[in-house]
Amino acid sequence: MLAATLVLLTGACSLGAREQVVIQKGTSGNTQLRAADSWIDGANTGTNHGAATTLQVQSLIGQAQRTLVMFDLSILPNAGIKSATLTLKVVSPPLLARTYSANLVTSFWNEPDVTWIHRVATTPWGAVGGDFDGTVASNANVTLLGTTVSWNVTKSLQTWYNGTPNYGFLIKDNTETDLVATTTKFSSKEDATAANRPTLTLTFLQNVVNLTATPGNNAITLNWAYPTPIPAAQGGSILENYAGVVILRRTTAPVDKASFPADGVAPPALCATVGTGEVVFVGTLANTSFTDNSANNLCAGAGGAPANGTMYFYKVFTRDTANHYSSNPAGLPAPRDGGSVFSAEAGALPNPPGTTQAPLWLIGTHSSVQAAPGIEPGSQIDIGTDTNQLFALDATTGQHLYPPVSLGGIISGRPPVIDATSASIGKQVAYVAAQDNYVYAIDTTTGAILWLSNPNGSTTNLFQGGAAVQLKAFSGAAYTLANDLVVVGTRNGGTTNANSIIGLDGNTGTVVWTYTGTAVPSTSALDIISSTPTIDYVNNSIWLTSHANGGAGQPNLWRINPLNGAVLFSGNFNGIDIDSSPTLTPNADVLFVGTNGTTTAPVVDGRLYAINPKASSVVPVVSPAVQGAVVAFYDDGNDGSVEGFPFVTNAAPPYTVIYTTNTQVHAVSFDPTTNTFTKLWTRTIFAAPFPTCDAGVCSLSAPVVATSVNMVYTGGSDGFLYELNLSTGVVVKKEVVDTHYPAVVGDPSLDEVKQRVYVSTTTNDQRSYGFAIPF
Amino acid sequence: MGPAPQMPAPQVQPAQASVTLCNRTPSGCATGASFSLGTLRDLAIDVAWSNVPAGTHTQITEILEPSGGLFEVKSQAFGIDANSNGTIQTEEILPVSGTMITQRRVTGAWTVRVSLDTTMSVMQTLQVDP
Repeated sequence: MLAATLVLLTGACSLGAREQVVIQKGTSGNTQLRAADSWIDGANTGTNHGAATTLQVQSLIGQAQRTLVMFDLSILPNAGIKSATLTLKVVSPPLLARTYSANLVTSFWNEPDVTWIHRVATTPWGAVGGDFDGTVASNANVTLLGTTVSWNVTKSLQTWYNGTPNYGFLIKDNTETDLVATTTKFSSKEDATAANRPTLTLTFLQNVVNLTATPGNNAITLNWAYPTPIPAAQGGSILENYAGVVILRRTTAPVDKASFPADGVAPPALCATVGTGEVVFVGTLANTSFTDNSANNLCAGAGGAPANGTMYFYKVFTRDTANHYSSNPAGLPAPRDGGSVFSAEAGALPNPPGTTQAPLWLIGTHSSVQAAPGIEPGSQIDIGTDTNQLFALDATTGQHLYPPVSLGGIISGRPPVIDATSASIGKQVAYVAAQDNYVYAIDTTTGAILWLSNPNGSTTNLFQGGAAVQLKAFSGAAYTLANDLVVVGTRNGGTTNANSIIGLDGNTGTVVWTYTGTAVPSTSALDIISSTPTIDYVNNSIWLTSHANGGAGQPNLWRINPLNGAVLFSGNFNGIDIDSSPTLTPNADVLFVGTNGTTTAPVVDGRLYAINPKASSVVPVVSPAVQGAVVAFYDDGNDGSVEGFPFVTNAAPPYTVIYTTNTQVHAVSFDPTTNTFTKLWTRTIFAAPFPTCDAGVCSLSAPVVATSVNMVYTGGSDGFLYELNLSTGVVVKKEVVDTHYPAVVGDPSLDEVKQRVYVSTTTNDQRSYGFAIPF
Repeated sequence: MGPAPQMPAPQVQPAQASVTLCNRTPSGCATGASFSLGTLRDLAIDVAWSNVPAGTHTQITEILEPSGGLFEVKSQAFGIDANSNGTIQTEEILPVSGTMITQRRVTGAWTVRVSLDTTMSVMQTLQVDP
């Protein structure tokens, strides 16, 4: 462990600046819950060494040995990394000096499974012997007399704290073609003596915390707090003190990822340009707020005092007495380049009182995300990304609770989050269905992977929609399974009839049942599934929509028995595919299903169907008395597909249902006593002349309805989040998310505990936001 | 008598790639420069590599949407044996049907950029029509 100099700040609480932390399992109370290490053997390609107390590296032609090591970085949720050193303790040195390289692993692997050939269970590496970046992260010499070996892995850590998934390091001999074996053994994290285990030593600056931007009349006030340094009891120490902050500002668009002060250089002057931002404030340690107005901002031109009606974005960097800044550097490998991806950000739109706007928080995800965030209301937000990562954010501040959990594939559906009391697994858990054919159970308190499962060993199933969970705690006596049931549907584009619906045990990931479609009879053919299933607790069923090979020849709506996966009903509605998820009324007396539609020839209008979810016979006969029967449908007039899911706003009939199509928000009433739909209102959000939208096409996300404030929320691809009056459909307000590029705002999530809406954005913005409601 | 003439050092050819884009359906993979959003099911990105040196390599595939923003990044590792001719075929699949591409109707000129070990890259564009 490196010695450190502790400097106390006179007259103030000791605050960290360039801090240092030594991460080692079992020391300083660090359990390394998410850590993993193992070694893989070219001579015994099917052998796993995940539980071994040593790690091995060997050079022998055709029989090389390589070490894998991955650290749990939870002690440091977010930071600008200044240096990083990986150290392994030598148990048995090589007889001759060797040079070993540390390489970034580029694929997900699982410690209990990993071998020379397979990285997870039966999923092979892309290249035998491990998938790793072709550019060596660091080399180190290993000698007969050496007791430890250290690698400078600074750039690797910087990439992980800049948006690249963390799959750890692979250590190998740079020459694996020797005719005589030369082997080194290191202590693993299973070594009985904690001090022998692998260590990772980091120096870093943390971001400010609790950053807010409060707009006023021609003014924006930023407030922040300095982070609490990692205490000595947890392996932390302080190298240089904080000295204050540097704040960059940009007009109408967020300060981009490549904009940040350079380490080692004195703070830039006020009004200086740094990348796409302008310096509006350089503060000392005493400053925890800055009001950007004409009195304090004397910059000329566009960098001057904020003007009403214009959106401004800020990035706040901590700095220390040696002029280090809380950012990662330039020069990181593309596409996760740019050093300030996760730096503290805020935004606001000043205006006269009553007309200001500001998100409560915003963070960069560096990912295109349309799916609504999973939430534990009032507590935590869990966002799946197309960088294979699950972000866990504090619902109040938007700050990372821990570094993102790196999984094996893209996450395109909303992950359900279940509290520990309700989940049979007994932990606060998110179930994540990813495009690597795996379903993961994540302990969202720690980020630890509880289990992972490739339900049928497929490499083509990839999961597009989110998982659904039937909770035993809320199910009736008819639910006889031992634990919760996680339900997923496959998206295997290689077949139009043999996709699957799969039920897994929520505690273990074991497959409970699988339904796989067949070409014959056509009522059994199951096309791709891009939606999330709906659990029907009242009728003890699972409802699920699917594609129908683009026509009327096979089902697009399914009712499944949760106990055994048997198909209780299948039917085709509107002769077209369905991407949206079905929605039940709280009494489960009506199932609403929105279908796809097309606006180009041949035109098919997306419809909203009201369907009878009851009865037990599997008879696809259109009759109100029979299950699956179309009770009624509503045709909104050729605006394309129903997006996401219909939203039922009330518990008793007549039911008010809100749904969106390409450019419109619809409110309809359905009365099951008369089986009739009645139009309440339709609001056209996008009409000619169209505003500027991403890729030139204006579209809406799925809606959410906050009945507590009588509002509907939907995201636009014009960079706005829209708020409509639930009773009238009038657009009350639209909050700026990012109109500069503009951003495609994805499906919102509603947090009724905190009265907030959370959204994520795609491509040109790649951020997540929290907004208080009503706007 | 002067020194023996030196044989010129063999030139190391850089790795090269040929990218083909096609609409992968259960019926096969139809190539083209443009696709309709209504019929594009999965975009297959097929890369034929040549002159790749022995060792483990990482192919990065970046998919940029019509506005130029980075939509998705895919990473794929492969190994080249020391005795091979340095060629390999890879494939990445971008799901389209039923995704936000169709749901939010992201049409226009998409770009696919494929790189090897961050040292070389090739680009291919395709038009996605409504």
